[in-house]
Amino acid sequence: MKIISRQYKKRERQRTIQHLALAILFLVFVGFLNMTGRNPFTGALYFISVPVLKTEDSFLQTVGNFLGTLKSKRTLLAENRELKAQLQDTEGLSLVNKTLTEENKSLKHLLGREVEDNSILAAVVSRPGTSPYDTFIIDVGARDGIHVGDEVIAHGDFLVGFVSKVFTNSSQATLYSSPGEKTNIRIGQSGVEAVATGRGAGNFSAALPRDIEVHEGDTITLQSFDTQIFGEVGSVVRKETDAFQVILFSSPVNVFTVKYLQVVRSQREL
Amino acid sequence: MKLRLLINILLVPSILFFPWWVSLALGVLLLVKDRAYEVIVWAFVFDTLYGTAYIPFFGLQFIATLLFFILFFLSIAVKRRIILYRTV
Repeated sequence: MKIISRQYKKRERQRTIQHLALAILFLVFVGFLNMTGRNPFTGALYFISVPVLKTEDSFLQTVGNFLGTLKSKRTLLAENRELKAQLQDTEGLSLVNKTLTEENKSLKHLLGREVEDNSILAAVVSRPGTSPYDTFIIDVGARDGIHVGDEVIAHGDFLVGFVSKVFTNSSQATLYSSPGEKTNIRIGQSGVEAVATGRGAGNFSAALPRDIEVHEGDTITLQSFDTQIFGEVGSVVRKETDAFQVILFSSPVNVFTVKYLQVVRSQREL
Repeated sequence: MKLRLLINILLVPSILFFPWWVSLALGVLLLVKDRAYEVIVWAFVFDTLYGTAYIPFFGLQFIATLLFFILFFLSIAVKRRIILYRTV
């Protein structure tokens, strides 16, 4: 009985040593990949998974169409009426927006600050929700002239992130709201400058001296020549004992549902 | 064995299409099985696909891998102390 126990202990010790050796080897391997930032498996994995991920939207659309046929006519009519009313409301705003954009462009042209549109449309194949790290996988890559660091825009006007990995036919974009990411912003009409810190899922916070007046609903833009709306002040947290006030806001873009993005290609020599 | 195979099969669509917490739950479920090394491989695949330099974790790109690596060894240590898992 004693012999069996000794043998067992010896075998257990050997097994533990083997496990530890494997663990250390694996940790060294992962640490090396993290330090160099070059994961040899990424390209192959994207090559295999991106075409599969692309099928998700078409699958969901088919399911949605099928479920749509099950809805009652009355519900559909009510929904239709409501949507028509909403469309009428937004048509006016859209016209004003279009006019102001044209005016903005012509003024920039007059002042010699023409902005060249060098963006490319990208379909989102994977979005935050599936990824816990606030990253998108998009279907444009090096073949389309995409580089690491290129800006990513949603709905034509809202800057949401930057390209963090590029492969031949696909890329990964990281959101500015990814936890810890810092972005320079301007708040409200006064244009107070601050640094926004990402809090995940399209949310941000920024600390400002408490004497500066900030109100809920103030527009937040980026510190750039183009007026790019970044968000709207959601709430202002002030504590009597703190010298700072914390501003909480979120991106106007719903990062969980966005289907298309624009990538602004930087001018680089190929 | 069947359950282990089923979880492994389910992990493929869960990593690609389902919310991240589904993969997390399946991974933890897989850890219940004896010496489920593959859970670390799945976590590595997950990080390779979605991982980015994560600032709150000092720019680490392999958070899920590290998490499941720790959980894997923790599960072995826990199982050794649970009489039902002892084979000898």
